[in-house]
Amino acid sequence: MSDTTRASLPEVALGSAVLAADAARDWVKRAATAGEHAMRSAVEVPIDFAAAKVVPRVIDDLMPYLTESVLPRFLDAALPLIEVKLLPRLLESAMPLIEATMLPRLLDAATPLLQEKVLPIVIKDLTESAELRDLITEQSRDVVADAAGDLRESTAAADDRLESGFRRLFHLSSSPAS
Amino acid sequence: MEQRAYAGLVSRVAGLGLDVLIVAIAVVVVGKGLPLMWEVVAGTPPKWLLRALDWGANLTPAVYFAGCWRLTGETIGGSVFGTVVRLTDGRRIGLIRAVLRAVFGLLFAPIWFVGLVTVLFDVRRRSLLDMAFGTVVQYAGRPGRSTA
Repeated sequence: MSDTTRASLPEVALGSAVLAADAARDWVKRAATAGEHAMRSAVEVPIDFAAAKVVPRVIDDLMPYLTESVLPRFLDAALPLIEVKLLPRLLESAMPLIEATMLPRLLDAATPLLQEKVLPIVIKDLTESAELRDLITEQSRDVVADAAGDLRESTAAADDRLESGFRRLFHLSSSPAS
Repeated sequence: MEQRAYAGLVSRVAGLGLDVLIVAIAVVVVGKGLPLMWEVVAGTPPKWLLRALDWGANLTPAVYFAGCWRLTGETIGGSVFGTVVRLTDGRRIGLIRAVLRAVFGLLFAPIWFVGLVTVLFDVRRRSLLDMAFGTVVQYAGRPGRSTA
């Protein structure tokens, strides 16, 4: 045997150590994998069981209580708070943003659609609506009646003023009206 | 009855002014418009028709005032300004009284107009025409100005 093929004692020792370290690493890895599998199966089984059996039963049992007792009480307590404090603040803080960004975009997007499709339909419906015609007629009548009433009141007031002025001018006794 | 129930000078003059305008238009329509329409449709109108329409035009003011006063107590001008002609006891005036009031008022129109001055100091705001024919002019059912 030549010197080049024969290993020295330290080399043999080093090689043995390397082999031993590899074997140990494999063993640790296998142990870790086995542990992980064991842990996973130990956790998954109860979770599956809980998900399949326990949780639905708990939910079924709790739901009537939640819906009949807890939820109404929660809503009773929360709604005033939401209405009085939360909603106004939300609206107040959101309004500038809505006005500045969303509204112009919405209008820009919706206006052509409204003009082309919605408005003609609305106008057609309105012009053909007997109820609306009656409403407009009624309103016009009311406007005319109001105007006539105002006119009458004005002239009646003018009657009184003119008469009292006339009576003052000629030092006549004041009328029962004045 | 409270004095405020009787119509004052402004309401009456305003109503009368509107009535005069309406009557003027009606007279022109009857006296000139109808013969013109006849001419357009059927040629020259016969003389008897022209004479009848002429009479009609002359009678239109009296018919208008007397008819309105008799039927509702309100002329169109009175209706707009809310005045109504009644007997002193609140009833509607009769046909003869309405015709006489209208004819006298129209024949002596200056007296009718000048006679309105008495509205200013009469307790029931009556004009000379009202005094002569036993009528009053009331506000037509306004709040605080009852006609009852």
